[in-house]
Amino acid sequence: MLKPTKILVPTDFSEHSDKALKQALDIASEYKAKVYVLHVVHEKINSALSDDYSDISITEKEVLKFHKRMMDVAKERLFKQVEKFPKSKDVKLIQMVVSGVPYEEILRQQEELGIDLIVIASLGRTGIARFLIGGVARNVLRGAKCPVLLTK
Amino acid sequence: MLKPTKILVPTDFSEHSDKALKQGLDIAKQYNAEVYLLNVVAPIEQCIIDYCIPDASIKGIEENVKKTALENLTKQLDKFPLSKEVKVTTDIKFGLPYDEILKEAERVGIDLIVIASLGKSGLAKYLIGGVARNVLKSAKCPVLLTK
Repeated sequence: MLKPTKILVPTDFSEHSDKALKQALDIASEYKAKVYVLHVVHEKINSALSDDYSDISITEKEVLKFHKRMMDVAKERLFKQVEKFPKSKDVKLIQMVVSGVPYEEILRQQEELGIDLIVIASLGRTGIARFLIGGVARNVLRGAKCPVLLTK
Repeated sequence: MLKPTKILVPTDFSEHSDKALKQGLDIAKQYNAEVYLLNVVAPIEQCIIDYCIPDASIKGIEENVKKTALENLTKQLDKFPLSKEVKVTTDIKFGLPYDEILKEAERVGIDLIVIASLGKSGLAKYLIGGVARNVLKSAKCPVLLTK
């Protein structure tokens, strides 16, 4: 039965994810549900910096510094994105920034938090319109244990 | 903004589609929306190699198929008491399932499709069936995929 109580909205700060967030907020206020807005900092950015063959010579300490900065910037951007929507003040909203592979983290958080609805945009930042469903959305649709609302 | 007013639920009478229908009805009740329950029947092949069924018989068969399908729709709806509290329209179409689902969505002005990730022929290991996949890909409105 769908009376969502915990809604997960993955965001990459793109316009597409704005739409998904708006939709999720609307649903949350209708059902008095909690909204988890999640941004995943792609771990590849970290591993690329610390790769053996990377000719940027960089110490582990610096990688950690970069990583921390990326997480901080992501938190700021997430805050700004959420602020765009006045409705976000009317619902219980939790902002989360984690690092990892986006779809894996989304699916992990879904299970860990006991999410009962995921609202995801069919395209994100790297979406090419002709593919119509981006890779992250596709993997989430496939792997999620709960219903997924795909916004267009 | 999602306040669904017309919700399309494609069904193949499978258990999976029961779940989607239940969800569709719940949402409809919450938002005071209408539910369109659609079953798509594969068209009857008139000719197999050089043996052809006459037009008149095809008509007869199609009528019968339609009748059975409508009965099945009613039976499926009867499983859910909520269907009495929500405005439900049923329809049968002949054709390719995903194609007819998308056409119906545009024709009726559907603003939410609720579809099961698997249907009758879904192999669990694929996790999203072909019909659902094509609907997710090409629908112009939001799609809720139930699990």
